Amino acid sequence: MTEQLKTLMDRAADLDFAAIDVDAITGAGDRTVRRRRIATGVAGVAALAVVATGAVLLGGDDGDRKTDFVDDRSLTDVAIWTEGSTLHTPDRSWDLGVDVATLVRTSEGVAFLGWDGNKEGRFDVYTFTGDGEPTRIGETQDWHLRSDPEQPYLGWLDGTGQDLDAVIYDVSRGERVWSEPAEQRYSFPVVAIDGTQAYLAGVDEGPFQVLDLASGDLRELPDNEIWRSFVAAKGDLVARTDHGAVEGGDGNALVVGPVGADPVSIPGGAADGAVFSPDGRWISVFSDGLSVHDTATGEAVAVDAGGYAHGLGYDWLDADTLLAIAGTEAGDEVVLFQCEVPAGTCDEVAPLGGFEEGELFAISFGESIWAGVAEGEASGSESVEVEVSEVPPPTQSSSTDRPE
Amino acid sequence: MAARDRAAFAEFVAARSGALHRAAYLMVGDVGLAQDLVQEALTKTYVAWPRLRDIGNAEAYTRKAITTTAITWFRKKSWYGERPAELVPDRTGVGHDDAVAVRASLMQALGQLPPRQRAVIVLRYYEDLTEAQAAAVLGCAVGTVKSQSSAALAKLRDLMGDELDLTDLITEEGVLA
Repeated sequence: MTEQLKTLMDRAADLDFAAIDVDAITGAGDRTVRRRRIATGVAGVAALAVVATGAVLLGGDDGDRKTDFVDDRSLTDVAIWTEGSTLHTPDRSWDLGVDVATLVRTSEGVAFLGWDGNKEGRFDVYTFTGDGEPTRIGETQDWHLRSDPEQPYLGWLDGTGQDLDAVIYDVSRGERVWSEPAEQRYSFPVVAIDGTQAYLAGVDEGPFQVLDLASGDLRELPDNEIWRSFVAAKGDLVARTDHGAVEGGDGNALVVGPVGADPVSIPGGAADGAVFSPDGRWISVFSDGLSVHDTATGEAVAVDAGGYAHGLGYDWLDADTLLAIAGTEAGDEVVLFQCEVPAGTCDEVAPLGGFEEGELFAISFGESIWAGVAEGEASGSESVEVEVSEVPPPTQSSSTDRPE
Repeated sequence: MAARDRAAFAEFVAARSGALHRAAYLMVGDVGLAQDLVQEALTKTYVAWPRLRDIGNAEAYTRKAITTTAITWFRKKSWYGERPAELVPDRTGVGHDDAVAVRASLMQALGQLPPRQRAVIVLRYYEDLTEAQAAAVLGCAVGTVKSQSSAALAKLRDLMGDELDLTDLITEEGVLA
């Protein structure tokens, strides 16, 4: 008997499957969202409360002026964060004129996604140098921004036109230096920007191309495990999820090393992400707490953020200064820290408020970490639920539990 | 789909779970694993629900999650070349209906393909995705889908012989030597 492949597969798969427990799935999903919110320090922010009450400002700034930046230091040489529409450094505040959902640093200042409350699910992309007004450079429905703080490049999924485009913009030149139609609406093709190298993916998995933003050269990456499990890059170093390729590894860890050399295993289980220090000596791993390691040895560096239950080291100000947020188990207190590595000491920069205070916050993390409130919580306003909790797309490295 | 709407998600699950289970089963060759795979993929879909914006995106997202998760499982446990014992049929066993035996042979043959080739076969010839769509799901280049598909068809032809007619597909795709 000869059968066609399609027919045969149809028949082979014609089986009875158990009914899906939707409650179990939604419960697990809700726990995942909560865990990520706590891990990143912010949750349950009432977007509409901000609209209704106006921005809350820190440091005594009255918020009704857009302060010119006159210091010698670059705006982004210090810790930055936003609260509502207000951009803060430890010493200064600027009213950006629009609530900030996502914030990153570039060599030219900051870039951010602004949400004016009237465009459900749509954000405007802005740059701001610390001088004058923010400059609107695009629009997006995605809440990711990608940058290298030492470079002028900014990547996002642009939705200004009819179609979505993956875009890389040179802030110093004020122009797009690369764009391609996005293959899928939920994908984010600019996986990472490291120096002048932009790591690109057709869909939201590991990169398969590297674009040199200085020369315009596009290089194909080999279709192998290194790039499929990509987490971060810095120079020659690549951090990736170990799927058992490392001898002696547990198949569930982060590994770091130059491509082509034996990587170093970073203990502590799989990570949701990681960020290298500018010189590649250290890596901060996104796990359940502050987790910093020497990239040469994998050895952990003890970092003490005052005993908080959760923490995330998300950005490096320089070769040994890590920005981190940490919070209580209940999430009712979240603090921005500046930590020295390898000393492991942390100084509090500013409190970021609690989960119930009804403010928008953003840190220089590249992804939004706030979520909307349910209907009715913002009295006097038309309720529009906006939820942009940090939700990475499915990747090959994200599943670690089955099969045994 | 702007919010994480449980009712809409439940409706999506009810409408599409059968198709998703069948694809997952073809990917992993085991009913229990397929169910776990679908459950895990749907959990990811539920988490991502506010971003997906329409049902078509939700299905594409879930399919992608199933595929990449299945490949991860296989890689992680070095399942390439292994199969759960209950799936290995006695192809010459007395009492087996021919059709049942051929279907079992197919599952055995699929189980001998590397995970990515197996996924390509399911995506291209069961889900009827184009090469570009399959490449998007797998996160690889279209050329990789072509080569993996060609290699997979060649291996299936070798493993199943006259039980499976691949003439049209092999003519269309070409087969790697």
